[in-house]
Amino acid sequence: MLEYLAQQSINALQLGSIYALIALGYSMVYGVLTMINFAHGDLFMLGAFACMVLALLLPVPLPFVVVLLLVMALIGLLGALIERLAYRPLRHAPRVSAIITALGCGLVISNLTLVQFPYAQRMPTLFTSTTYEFLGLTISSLQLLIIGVSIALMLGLDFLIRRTRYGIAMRAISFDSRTVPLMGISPDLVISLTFLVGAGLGGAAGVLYGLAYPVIAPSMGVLVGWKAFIAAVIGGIGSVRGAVLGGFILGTVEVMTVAFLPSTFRDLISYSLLLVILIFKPYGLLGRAPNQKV
Amino acid sequence: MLLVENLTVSYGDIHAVKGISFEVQAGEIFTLIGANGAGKTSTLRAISGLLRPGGTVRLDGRDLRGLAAERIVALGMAHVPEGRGIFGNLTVQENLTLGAWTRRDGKAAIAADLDRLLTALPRLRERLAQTAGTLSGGEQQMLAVARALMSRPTTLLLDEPSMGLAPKLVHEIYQVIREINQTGVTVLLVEQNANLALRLAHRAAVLETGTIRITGPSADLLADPRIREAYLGA
Repeated sequence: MLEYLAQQSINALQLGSIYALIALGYSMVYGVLTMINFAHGDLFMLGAFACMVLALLLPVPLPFVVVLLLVMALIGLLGALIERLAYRPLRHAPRVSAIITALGCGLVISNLTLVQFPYAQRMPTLFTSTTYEFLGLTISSLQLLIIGVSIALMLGLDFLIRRTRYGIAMRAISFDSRTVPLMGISPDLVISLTFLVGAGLGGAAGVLYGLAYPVIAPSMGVLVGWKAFIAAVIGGIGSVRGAVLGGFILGTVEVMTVAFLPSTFRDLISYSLLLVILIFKPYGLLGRAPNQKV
Repeated sequence: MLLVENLTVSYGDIHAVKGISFEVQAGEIFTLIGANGAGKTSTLRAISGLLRPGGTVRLDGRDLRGLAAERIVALGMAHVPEGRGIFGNLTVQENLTLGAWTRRDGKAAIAADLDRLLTALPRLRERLAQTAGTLSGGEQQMLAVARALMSRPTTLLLDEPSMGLAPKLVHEIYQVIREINQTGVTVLLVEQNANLALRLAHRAAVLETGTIRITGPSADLLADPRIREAYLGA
């Protein structure tokens, strides 16, 4: 029993780290713009497809890290481009316009992908996995890779946000966007960078998801992406640490539900968890109430 | 030198600033006094590029029209906004780091400036690693001024630095402003507290419902019976 639990914990860590990577993108964008980027889930999905296409097209197989970085750059740039073209003109429009636009962008991305790939696709093997036995547990090198890459990316993001001046500027914008220009900082530049990084992490999550669950479909932008959105809300949207916490909590809850209950209970339990947490912590576990500005 | 000509600011149908003109000479302290709603804050926000005004604003001869606020900072103007605009979620050190954003003269020069400021304001040095939101009102105002100075401005705009502070702290802040000015920084000070502002400034203008009533040396305004009655409560 204990062994089973430990085994499931590894799975929970794997799913949780993917949720956390996606949730970071929602939370970062919300932090700087107080806007939900509903196209983010579809950028995640596109990350998986971009990885597949890259792997199939390239005559020589590239090292995994190179593929990962290429996809991150591609999806990151696309995220920044969407902000520039679709959201920035609406910066001063009512909030609902930007949200509807984001939903629209998501639909465009998922449907364009659907045109190209009408059926679920099999992710090519990028990585020959070996399994290790360890204290009676089975862990594959693929799982180690997924968890390791996720944690490395999160540490990198933490460094960016805490230690670099662009990270300080991101946090400043989330506190008081109106004062930021008085520092000589271009808010547009910081917002573009936030989209670049957030979408890049979503793209990386797409790659990792495709490796972990190698059948990918355009619908997973909504199916998985919105779960990650829930994770961001559970952790406290706008909070980077909250997104990571929420991702791991949701991953654990889902894996454990399926491990001990019929798998159809999975979504019921996740959404119920969201409701319960929001009743007691309306801003999520690590979220803070918005600044009241006059 | 800061030259403001025929400046207008409107919010929809409301004309907050109705074509005012004044100039702030290099190296002087100039104060705009006036009651709540006279248009003082709008004037400062228009000068520093946060609003899109009508009229002309020139900094050292350069027309600032159409320049975004973040570009104007790089030209040597720093604006301490109403309510201080401290980033309460960042540490004191991080706030000061952002103040130096436009600097291109290297880490050593920035560190030297920081050290000089912290020597002048030792309480900030004690609180460097503290979250700025936990500072007292007076400390936050000191931080806001120090942060503005980190950009090495030639012209400093201050919006009601005395607001909400105890008299002793106001005195300290004013002493700091005087010292900043003595290092050669031009200061444009907006205040409701006319008495204090007129005693500090070299020259002053009185703003009433978006227009300038009187401009002149502060000493003259302090002695003017109309000003005394309306703004100094005497």
